[in-house]
Amino acid sequence: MSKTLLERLAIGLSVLFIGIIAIFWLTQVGDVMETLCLAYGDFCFDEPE
Amino acid sequence: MDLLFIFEWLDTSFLADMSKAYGGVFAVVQMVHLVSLALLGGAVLITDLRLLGLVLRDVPSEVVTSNMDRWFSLALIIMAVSGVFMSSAVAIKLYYNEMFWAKMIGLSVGALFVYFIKRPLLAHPHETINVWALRLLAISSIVIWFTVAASGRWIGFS
Repeated sequence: MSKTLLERLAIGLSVLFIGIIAIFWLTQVGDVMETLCLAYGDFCFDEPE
Repeated sequence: MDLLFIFEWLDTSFLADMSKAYGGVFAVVQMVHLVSLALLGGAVLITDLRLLGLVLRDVPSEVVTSNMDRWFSLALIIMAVSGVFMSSAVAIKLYYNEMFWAKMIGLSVGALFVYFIKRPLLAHPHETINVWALRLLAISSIVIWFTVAASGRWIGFS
């Protein structure tokens, strides 16, 4: 593949992957915080029971 | 395509018998897996932070990249082999774990991205490469491999 094509693919795919991964983790925020709260007592909205 | 048959086979394989019967062997393989993860993470961070111009600025990025490539590949191979062994102990459980699939997708995308886009592009002199291509390549690489590691850790929680 030519350098120009690789540069375009690198830019396009990088933006795509960063976007998809950002959405993925945003959808997991609730689960992540709940798990960290239950496992370590961190990031709790309320005191763990 | 349903891949359950692969996990059913793995669950009844010799690897599964060994990993379930010998906790010590499983622990040692798990340790090797985590050391490889640290090696892979280190290689990714050094390469990508150098591409962003944040570390090792007195060393040409071509030198840093070529030196780290071999460690990255070695770590990836060891992680894959040790990962299959570890998976055999809980194969069916993993099949139904969505974080396991997030990790596998991230791992596949990351590996394909490295070997088919990143390395071919970085084979050219770095000063001739579009600076935004280099920056985005480095940021996306860090984000992808962080996701692979974090979702792997998350398997233990879910």
